[in-house]
Formats: sequence, C-alpha cells, structure tokens
Amino acid sequence: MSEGKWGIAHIFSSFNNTLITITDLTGAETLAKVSGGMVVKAARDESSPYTAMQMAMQVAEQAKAKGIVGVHVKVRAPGGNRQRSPGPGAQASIRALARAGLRIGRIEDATPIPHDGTKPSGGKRGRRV
Amino acid sequence: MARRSQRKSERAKVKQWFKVIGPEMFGRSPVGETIANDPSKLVGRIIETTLGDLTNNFSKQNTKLRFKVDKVAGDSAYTKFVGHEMTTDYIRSLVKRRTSRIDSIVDVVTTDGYQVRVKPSCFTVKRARANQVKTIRDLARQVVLERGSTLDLNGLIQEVVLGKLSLDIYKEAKAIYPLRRVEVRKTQIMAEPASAASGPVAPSGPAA
Repeated sequence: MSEGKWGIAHIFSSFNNTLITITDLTGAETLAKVSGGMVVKAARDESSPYTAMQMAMQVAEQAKAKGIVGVHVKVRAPGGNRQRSPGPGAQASIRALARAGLRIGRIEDATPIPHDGTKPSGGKRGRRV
Repeated sequence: MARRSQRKSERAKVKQWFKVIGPEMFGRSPVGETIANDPSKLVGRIIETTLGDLTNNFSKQNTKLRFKVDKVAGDSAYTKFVGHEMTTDYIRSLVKRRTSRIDSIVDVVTTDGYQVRVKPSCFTVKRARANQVKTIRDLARQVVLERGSTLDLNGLIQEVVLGKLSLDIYKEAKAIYPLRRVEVRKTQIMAEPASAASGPVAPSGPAA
C-alpha cells in the first residue's frame, strides 16, 4: 500500500439523509463524522447532492487534520428490505472527497443484502401514493 | 463550545498510531495503521485488505483478506488470518442468466487442527440439470475435503487464495458439465486448535 495514513470513508446514503463517517482501517476508531442535518436547516435538503458535497468537504478537513491522506470508500444504501441502490448523496460525496484532496482507494458497495428477510413495509398491494 | 473542542484535541493527542503487520503466511508485510489510546484495545480488531494490495498484483483486487489483531508489541500489532471473501461486485459479474451457479459449503479440519469453512462456487456455461448440479456439488465437496485434510492451515489458505483449489475443482467437475469459472467465494476460520490459541502458527508449508 502507498505511503501515508489511510482510512475508510463509510458513506450511508438514503433518500432522506446522508451520513459520512471516516474511520481508521479497522473501522474501530472514528476520526470524523458528519450528517446532513449538521450542514443544512431544512429536513428535505438532508439527502441532496449539494449537501453531500459540503459534508464531504467538512469531513475531509477534519480527517486531513488527523493525518489521513487517502480513504477507501464503502458506500451503503438502506438495504435490508428497503432499496438496494444508494441515494442521491453517494456520488456527490465521493467526488467531493476527491476534490477536497483525499486520495480515493477502493470503492466498494457495503449494502446489507438479506439472504431472505422480513416482508417489506407497504402492505400487500404496495405503497399507494 | 471552544472549551469542548480544546478538550477534544487534548484527548486526541493521547491516542497513538500503531502499525498493523500482516500474518506470517503473507510475509509479515505492513497492511495499514490504526489508532488507539491503549494498546490493549487493539486486540480483536479486524483489518481488511485485498490480495492485490499485498502482492502489488492488480489482477487480484477481487480477493479481500481479513486479519485479526492478536498480539501487540511496541507500536506494531501482529495479526492472524481469519478469513477471505471475494468482493460482491466480482461475484455478481460472474452470475449470468440461463446458467447455473452451484454453491457449496464445506467444513474441513486441517492437519494442524484448524476448522475451516470453505465456500466454493461453480459457474456453468449453460443451465445444468438438477442431477448434474448435485454431482458437481458433491465433487466440489470431495475435492475440498481431500485437499483440506492433507494440508495445514498455511497450505490450505495459499491454495485457496492463489486459486489452486478452485482449479482442482474445475478439473474434476468439467467432466460432468462444462464450467465457465470456479471460485472459492469465502473462507472462514471457525475454530482453532486449543494449543495454538496462545501463540502464532509455526511456519511450515510454502511461504508467501
């Protein structure tokens, strides 16, 4: 592996929020974390790509202050019996992490996939809007 | 607020970075760094790297290795191997429509007493019949049991990770039905021999 300290950026991205946590390589120690609500006031903006960008910038600053030069990314959608594809903030935050001067290593999907789980909410005929 | 942030930075200074060293069978190369305020907190942490990173071989990026810290000396933490896994996106790229994916799960005890769970997957060229699938699954099981019970842990892990075991399964099973690919999807170390739980494994078998 290349020189300098690396970390893992855990990015959880749903339709309602984005959470970014930067930990060390074992995932046992958190170095920096941020959520959508720490950046914007309105709840509906918590998951937006623009918010994710600002969050990534904030969290990258904190991580760099602790000597991190690059991160491996683990992207995670809600998973389980909810959607398997990450929300709108995932793409934006990875790009912003790179723009903020952190090197990006592996990008991996860490969505929890059930081998057979519980029934999804919404009833027999689905969610009727 | 200002006081709180100051206190935080003081606490962060107490924490120290430790080098994580890979296990003997992977040449004791450094795999990363971790931070802690107390060395005793390191034991039990699991670090994940790819085989590509360890060997500088980009074609092996799809194999993830899991190492668990079991001993700390000075500022380095020594690890042991606890399992490997293929990345999900690689396995997904192998799964295709109108073909069979034949998974099997085999528990095997190595010559030095480690109980290892090996999960090989075979991917056929076209969809196989149920009895062919069954035969291939039995064959994969036989091969893993045969190889696993004649090797020690080091040897078995080397064969699994470098793809020799999956090649053996491929050779045996292609007579039943044409295979596209055989991969050992995952291994887990389920139990250790009681004697080796304290010290590291004695070096034997092919070195990394």
